[in-house]
Amino acid sequence: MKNNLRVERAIKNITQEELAKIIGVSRQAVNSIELNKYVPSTILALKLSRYFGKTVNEIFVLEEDD
Amino acid sequence: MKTNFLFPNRFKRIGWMLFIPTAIFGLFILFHRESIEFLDSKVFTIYGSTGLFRSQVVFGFVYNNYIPTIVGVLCLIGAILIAFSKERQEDEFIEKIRLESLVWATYVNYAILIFCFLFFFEIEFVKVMTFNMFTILIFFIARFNYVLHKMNKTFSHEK
Repeated sequence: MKNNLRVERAIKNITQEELAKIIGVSRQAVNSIELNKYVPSTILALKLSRYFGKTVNEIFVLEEDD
Repeated sequence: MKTNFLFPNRFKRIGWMLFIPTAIFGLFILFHRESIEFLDSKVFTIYGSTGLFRSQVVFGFVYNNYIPTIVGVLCLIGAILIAFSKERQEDEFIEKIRLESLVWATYVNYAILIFCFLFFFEIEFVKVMTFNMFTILIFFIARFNYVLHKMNKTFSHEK
């Protein structure tokens, strides 16, 4: 799974730490999602979707091998 | 609300304050056992042996030194508190790292124990077991904090 969290974050012009605080997770969590090292739970994905005002499908994209 | 069996974050500091001094003192008495004589007393035992002929005692009293007992128990409580207190910002990612680290620590700990089983015997094996009581928690704490630290480091390069 890919995601464009980093892009969305750049559009909003906020740091990982700020995003983490808003969503209520650790900054390590935001970082590892951006690095594609961690797949967030549905709840976390929906929270991100709500914050960015985009659907989950626009932020997270399935890849061939998923 | 789901239960996660963790202590509040402030217990982590208490854990370190218990663990560090008892670990240092514990290592000291492990190698200089003869140097501590106070607190030699009659202690209750579930199963032990006493006297010149090592006669068996079940639910009775034997003479022993209480210092290693106290130090060992406090050290274990300290390590448990360090290992299983919540992080300041607890979340699903940290939960995952914690679980992974626990599996990792269990494998490493028992791999070492199996190795020692094969090559240590009698009283030397008891010495190995003395360390083994603590190592699973120590391996876990080291691995868990290393991974969190690593994720933090890659973060700090980002802007």
